[in-house]
Parts: sequence; C-alpha cells; structure tokens
Amino acid sequence: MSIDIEQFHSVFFDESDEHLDDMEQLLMSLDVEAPDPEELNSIFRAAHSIKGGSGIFGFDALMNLTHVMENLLDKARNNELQVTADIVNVLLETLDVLKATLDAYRNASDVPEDEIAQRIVVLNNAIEGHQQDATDSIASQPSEEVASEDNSFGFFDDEPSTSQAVSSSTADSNDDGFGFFDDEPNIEPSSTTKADDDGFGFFDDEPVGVKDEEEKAQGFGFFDEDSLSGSSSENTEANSKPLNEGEPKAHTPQVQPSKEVITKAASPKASSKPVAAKKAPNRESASIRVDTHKIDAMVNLVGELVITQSMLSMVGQEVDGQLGERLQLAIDELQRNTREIQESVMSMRMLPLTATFNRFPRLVRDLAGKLNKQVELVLQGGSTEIDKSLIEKIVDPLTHLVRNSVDHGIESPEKRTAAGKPEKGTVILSAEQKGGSIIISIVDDGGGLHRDRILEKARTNGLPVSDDMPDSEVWQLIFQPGFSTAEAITDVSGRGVGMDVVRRNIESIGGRIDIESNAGEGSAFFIHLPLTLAIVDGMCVSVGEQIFVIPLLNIIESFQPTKQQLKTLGNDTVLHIRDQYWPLVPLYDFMEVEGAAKCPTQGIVVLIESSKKRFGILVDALVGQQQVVIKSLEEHYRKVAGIAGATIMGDGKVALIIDADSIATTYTSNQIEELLS
Amino acid sequence: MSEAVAHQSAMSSQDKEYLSFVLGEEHYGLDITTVKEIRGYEQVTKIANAPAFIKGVINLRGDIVPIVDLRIKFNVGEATYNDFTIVIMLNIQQRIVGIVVDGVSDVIRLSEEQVLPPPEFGVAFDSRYLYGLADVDESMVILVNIESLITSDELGLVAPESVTESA
Repeated sequence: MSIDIEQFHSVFFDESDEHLDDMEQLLMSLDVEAPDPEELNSIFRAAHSIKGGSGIFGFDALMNLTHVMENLLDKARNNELQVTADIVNVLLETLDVLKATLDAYRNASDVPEDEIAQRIVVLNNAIEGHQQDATDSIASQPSEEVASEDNSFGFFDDEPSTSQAVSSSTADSNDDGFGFFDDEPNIEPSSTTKADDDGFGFFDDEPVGVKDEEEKAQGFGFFDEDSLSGSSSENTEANSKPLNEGEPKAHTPQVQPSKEVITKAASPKASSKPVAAKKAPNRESASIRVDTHKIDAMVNLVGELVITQSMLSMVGQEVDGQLGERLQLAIDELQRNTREIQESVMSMRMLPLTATFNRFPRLVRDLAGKLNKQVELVLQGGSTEIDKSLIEKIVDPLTHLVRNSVDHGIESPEKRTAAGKPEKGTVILSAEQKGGSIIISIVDDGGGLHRDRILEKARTNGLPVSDDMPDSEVWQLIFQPGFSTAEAITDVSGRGVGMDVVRRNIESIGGRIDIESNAGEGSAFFIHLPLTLAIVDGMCVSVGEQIFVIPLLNIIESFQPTKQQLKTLGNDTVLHIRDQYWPLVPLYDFMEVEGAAKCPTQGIVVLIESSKKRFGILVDALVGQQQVVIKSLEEHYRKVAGIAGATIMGDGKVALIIDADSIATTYTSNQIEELLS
Repeated sequence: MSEAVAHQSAMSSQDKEYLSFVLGEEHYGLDITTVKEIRGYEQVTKIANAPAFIKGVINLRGDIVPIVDLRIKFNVGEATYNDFTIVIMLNIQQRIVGIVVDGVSDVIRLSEEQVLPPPEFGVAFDSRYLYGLADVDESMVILVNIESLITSDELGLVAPESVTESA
C-alpha cells in the first residue's frame, strides 16, 4: 500500500503548489478595506484542499499548520475577524513556511517543525487579535536564518556520510531560511549562503572529491531557477557571481575562455540534473504536464490521419502490378503505424479510475481508526475510463465525499449495533458509464442525512426554507458555503466547506451531484459527469441514410418483431414481449429521418434500458458494434434532445450518439405513460 | 509622390478587408478575419428538431461543425446543392460555423468612409445584423455583421446562457 500511495505524492505536491500559488495571488490582490467574501472563500478552500490532501498522505506538519490557517480564514470569511494588512502579511508568511514544508516533504528531508510551531503560535495570536506581536516575532527572524551558516548542510540529510554531524534542528532552520527567501529576488549577500546549499544539494549524488568544482556547482544550482538550459554564458555568469558580489551581470570577456573549460568539465553533472538541482536531487519527475487542449488537437488530427489512410488504401487497391504490390506493402505499414499512433494518443487522454480509487482504502482505514469506527470500503467499476482532465477535477470532491461518508455517515459500532445493523459499516465507491454520462457514486449504509437538523441550520444561516420542502431540495442545502451540521469542528470534517467545494468542482466540469438519503439507512451521493471525450462501446444502427450509435450499455437485446408482438394504442405502437408492454420509439420519427422503414416488422427493435425507463427503439438495421470517440456537439453548436454527442465514422462522416435517458424523457406519449404506470 | 504613398499607407491602417459572397442576386461582404476557410458543400448529418436552415453537422478535421444555409434563413435565391455550392467556415467566438452561400466573389478592401449606413429595410437581413453598405465596382455590397448574426438567438446556434445554466 505504501508504494501505491507514493505515486500520488507528486500529484499532491503539484496540486498543493497550485493551491499555494492561487492563495498567494488572491492574498496579494485582496482588498483589505473591503475584502471580497468570494475571494476569502477561495483562499479558504485552497487551504482546506491542502489540509485534506496532507491528511490523506500523513503529512501531519502540513496539516496542522493549514488547520490553524483555516481557522483564521474561517473567522475572516464569517466576518468574525477584521482582515488587516498585518493579517495578510501573516498569511503570506505562512504560505512561505507551507512552501518550505511542502518542499521538505517532497525531498523527503526534515520538516521545519520549529518554524511550523512558531507559525501556529503566530496564527493563533492573530486569531485572538494580537497581530502586532505576531509580526514582531517574524520580523526578527530572517536575520537569524541568514546568520547560521550550518543551515546549508540541511541538504545533506540524504547522504549519511557527510551529514552525521548535523543535528536535525539546524536542518530545520535551514528550511526556514528558504521559506523566507522564496519570495525575494536573489539578493547577493544572502545568496552566497543559498548558493552553497544549492551546490551541496546538487552534489548529493557525487561520490567524493570535485572540491574544485564546488563553486561552479553553486552557480548551476543557483541559476537553475532562472534558466534550465545551462548555456555556457549563463554558467559563466553564475560562476563569477560569488566572486564578484554586487556585480550580478559581471561577464568579462577575458575570463571567459578559462570558464568555458571549467564549464565543460562541470557540465556532465549539470546536465544530468538540470532542473532538480535546487528542489529535489533525487525526485525528478518522470512526467510532464501537457495542456489538454494540445492533446485534444492531437486526437483530432490523428482521427483525420486514420481517415486519410483509409482513403489511401482504397486508392492503393486500384493500382495493379508490381508497383501496386509495393504500394500495398507501404500502405499496410502505414496502417499499422497509424493505428499505433491512434492508440497511444487516445491512451494519453483516457485513464481508468483505478488510480484515483486506490487512494481511498488508505484514507478510509486511517480515518476509521481515528474515529473508532469500523468501515469497509468497496470499490467497483475502477476500470471505467474517464477523461484525464475530469480525473484531476474529481479527486478533491471524491475525497470530501468519502471522508464525509465515513465521518458523518457511518455511525459508531455501538450505535450501529443498537440500530440492528452490522458493526462494520460499508462505503461503496463505484463508477459506471450510463447514457451520456459517467456516474460515480458514494453509497454508505450509515445514519443518513438529518432533515430536521439541516433545516434548522439553514434557518440559522438565514436561508429561505420551509418545513414542507421536498427531500431533494433539503439535501441540496448542504452545498451552501459555510453549511455544516456537525457539532464540533474536527480536522476531518465539519466546516461545511467540503460540500461547497464539491459542488463547485463538479459543476465546473459540467457535472451535477444528486443525493439520496433515508434516515437510518444511509445516504448515496451520485456524481454525474459528462462524457466530453470518453470512448463508448456502441452499436451502430442505420435509419434511412443515416447512422446512429446506441451505447452498448443501454442495450438489452435487439430483434425483429413479429406482428403478434405489436399492439396499437391510439396512434402509438407498443411492443408486447417478455410479458411486458414496452413503448416503442421509432427513431426515424424522433430524429426526423426520411426514407426509413416505417413498419416495425421490417425493421429491428433495440430494447433499451435507461436509468429512468425501458423502451424499444425502432431502427432499419444493425450495422455493427464499434468503439467510438464521443465528441461534443455543444462545442460548436448546442445540446440536442436525445443526442449525447457525435462521433466520426471511418469514412469521415458524422454519426450521432443516442442518449437513451434523454429520449426517454423527451419522447413522452401520455397514453403509454398512463397505461404503464 | 512620396506624400501619396504615405497617405495611402495611413489610409490602409484604417481599412478593413471583407470577403464578398453571393446570396441569390445580392452581393454581401463579411469581415475576412472571421473566415477560417472556404470549402465545397459536402453531405451533412441531419440534426433532429432543428430549423430548416440548419442543414446539419459535418466533420471538420475532428470538429463537429454546424452548417447554416443563409439562403433558407433569409429566403433569398434557391437552396440548391451542387458541386459549385460553397461553404464559408467562420471562426466566431471560438466556435466554428459553416454558412452555405451561392458563391464567393472577391476580397474587397474598404476604408471607413466608403461604408455607408445600412438601410432600415429592403434587405433580406434584419438591420441589426448589418454593418453598412458599400459601392464596389458600381454594384452594391451589403456588409454583414456576421458575429452578431451567428451568435443571435434568431439562428439559435448558441444556446442562451440561461439555458446552459439551468440545465
């Protein structure tokens, strides 16, 4: 398990970096006179997300600090605390400490415990209104940091032979120094110390010797932030920097030749770890982040390539003789290559949910242990493939929901036994593709939502509610910002920020969240995500001249109906099969296609099961089963009833993908409704 | 001489280029910066419950793009489709839309002074969607404000914001 969790660390670090950057930007732009509540909320959410993540991975120091920070922000956004410039300063400085701590975790070096403890005190002071003291204590700090030379050895932690003499406390203060300097431009005097660090950090992997090159190494380490290329002129600059203090751009021609030589000598090591030199000597990331639009563009282009290739092979068949044979060979080769390109491009975009789901057993286990509950987590449908961009966005909401289920949903073993339930609660996390969407559900068999308590809380929060609101509307209330019915705020949950974030994140990717809950029986959260670029297994059917794709998932069976199976009800035809009456939707009618077989006995009926209804669709013929890429119609057009999206067939034509749910709701025939209900 | 050149270049910075096209008997022009490409008409995939002037969608190198026949919409000319029928692909507000026209004639360059205010009536297009009129080679070119036309509720190509939000 510990290995499994490792692979998500880098994701967490990246996410946290982003959150920290966001917070910093928001804090910088925050208007102290009249802070925008929405901005405060955003800052708060970012802190909350970092806290949540660090909780999962057991980064306690990070979690503790963000927890206090959150307290302060919570007060600020609830107007219990007047935001002042001092407070913004305190928060900004805390961000620096968080960055340093994050880096420490990332590099598996020691966490600056002292500094964190100090920050917590400062923050708590700020909460109690002693901002002045707080800033004082910080102001005195930087000088200490710079003064202690030993700091620089903090980076040797990974290498036992050299770092034995260094106590962990000095390492800590070293990190502090970094925390403080992160924001500042590289000021020369202090950078000497800093450069030292970098140099040492950089040399971690070096066996012995190379004393001569230490200085150059410093230069590299130092400059890595600015330029990763390590071009020789910059190296020279870097080298001369420690020597010519105060002349940053000193770059004298006569020195250059000799520097060049040295540069060459040092460059093999430099180029081996150009990026990681400062931050993480041992943890260079093996992946790069690519804008998903670039991948989208590639997916499209490869699709075109496939079509062009099939055109080419059609032409190739017309060429005779030896030339034709050679052409055919080349085309076969091209076909193989295109297919491989297509597969690899598609795989870039689509990821199974397994990796996301695997985060949770650990989270649930730890959480259950902490809360003295017995919880079993069941994972289902992890192989459901989902767009990469959706995965990134869905992680946070899922984490919140699973945590909520364990914390609020599942009761303590005693309560459960008293209620006649097994001691061990169950949380089921599952994913499936249904119609035009992917549904991720979190179902627990806990106590369910408390309708009365939610209504009460809503009233205290000044929300317009009434006692006879339907359940579904009551449940939606929990998505309001600052809404929590938990009695005490724990570090697990209870601030009501979670659900707010959950809905925001889900809506930002065009999804929605539904709640079902029965008191005493448990709650279920259903996240419906759209298929922006998911692949679907579909049955291609023809109606007139047009091809439609019906997702295989919806299809029960298809057959040619006999006269006896068809009954007429007013103007509508229903199908009597399996001792049931099924409404029949003629696709040519629904889709307004001309030239289709109108008599059901001449066509094929595809029995469909959607989440809402079961019905038959009348089509002309089945064409074949195929995996298709769903493309959005909304990107350039708009949503169309009954259609989940479109796809491009092998001949380059567009085929529409049927949305069974939408057909069921759109194609309503009152008579059939009445008869069947 | 040099003055004249300078004068011309100063003028040209204010000039705009228009792509002129033919609908029925009339000549129209649209801002050329919105034009993505010009293609021949190809078979479309019909969309259900769409107005007649929305012919359907096509695959434009992986993008599913709607095709609008302005001849049907504005009841000009005859909506025939043959090898010479032209589709102008427009790139408007990050959306791609194709419009079917009878033909594309020229790229014309007009200064602001050459553009006369549009008439209130007598043109197939609602004056909301018109930018102005211009005389080019003794015939009249109607300049269309293509962006407001394509994004208008009347064409229904873009789902109104309220709909997307409540959905």
